[in-house]
Amino acid sequence: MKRGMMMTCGLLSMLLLAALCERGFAIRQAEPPARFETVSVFVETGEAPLAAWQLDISATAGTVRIVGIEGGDHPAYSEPPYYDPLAMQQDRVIIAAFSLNGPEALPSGRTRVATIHVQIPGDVEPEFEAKIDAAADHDGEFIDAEVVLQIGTDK
Amino acid sequence: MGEHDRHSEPDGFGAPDGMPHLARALSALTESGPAVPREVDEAIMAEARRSLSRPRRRRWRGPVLAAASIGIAGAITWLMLQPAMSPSAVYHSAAPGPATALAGDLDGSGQLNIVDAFILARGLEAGTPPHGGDFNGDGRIDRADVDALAMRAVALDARAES
Repeated sequence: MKRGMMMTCGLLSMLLLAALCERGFAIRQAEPPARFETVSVFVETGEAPLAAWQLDISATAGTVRIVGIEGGDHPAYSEPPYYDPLAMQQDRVIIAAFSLNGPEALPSGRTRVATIHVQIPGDVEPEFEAKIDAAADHDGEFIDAEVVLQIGTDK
Repeated sequence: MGEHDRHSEPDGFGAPDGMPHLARALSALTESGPAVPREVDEAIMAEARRSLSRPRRRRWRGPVLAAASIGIAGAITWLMLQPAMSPSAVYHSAAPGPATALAGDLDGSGQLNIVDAFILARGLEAGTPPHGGDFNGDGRIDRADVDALAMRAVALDARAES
């Protein structure tokens, strides 16, 4: 009697374990593969020299995680901008930078000021939203500017 | 001793027949117990009356003392938690800058952003740091204030609060 109960318990335990393993395997199979993308951040200021800028960027579609931020193309903004480290692994970040260069050594027109690296699980195409919090010229005067985000690093 | 012997005790305190010495000894014990002199007895009673008639101790003392202790402890804790007055605080009170409601809002835009850090950095480079530039409160205006101001401008939690 006792031996029979022990065998039954053992059998049930094995069945339970097998079911759990199968479920875990199925979950792993269902997880979509993650991929990494870069998002180029451009600021367009027309003729005005860009001495300071601040952008608020967030993902509006897809489960996007920010995993890295680096500087842009122009020497004035080649260093990574200021950002909150808490933005890592999240889908929103505020980035900002300034340069004390003279107007002749500041970028104008369309300039890539930063590159954001993101992790995107699944095949969903991410969508981002960006707005300019501030943009100023070398005198600290606010200037009109537009921000353009582009997936990938091509200019 | 049998049933008869027990019934032979006339008042219940006697001893069975044949044990007269024990009976006398027991009787002597009950009759000549430790006598308390009348003076002592009265003195004890008088002391007891005095104690009972004495006004009760003020019961409010305990709670008041406890409340006072808690208040003092709270005051000490509050004083210990207050930041020490830094030279910058003295500086600000002695020479206030432009009346901006937001610390670090150097351009008066009503919000902290990178332009404030830019203005501070530019002032530092020119050797004329603006009033209110000691953003981190360490008593001097330097690059650390610029970085602190810029980091504040991009802080996600600060944006969530506003």
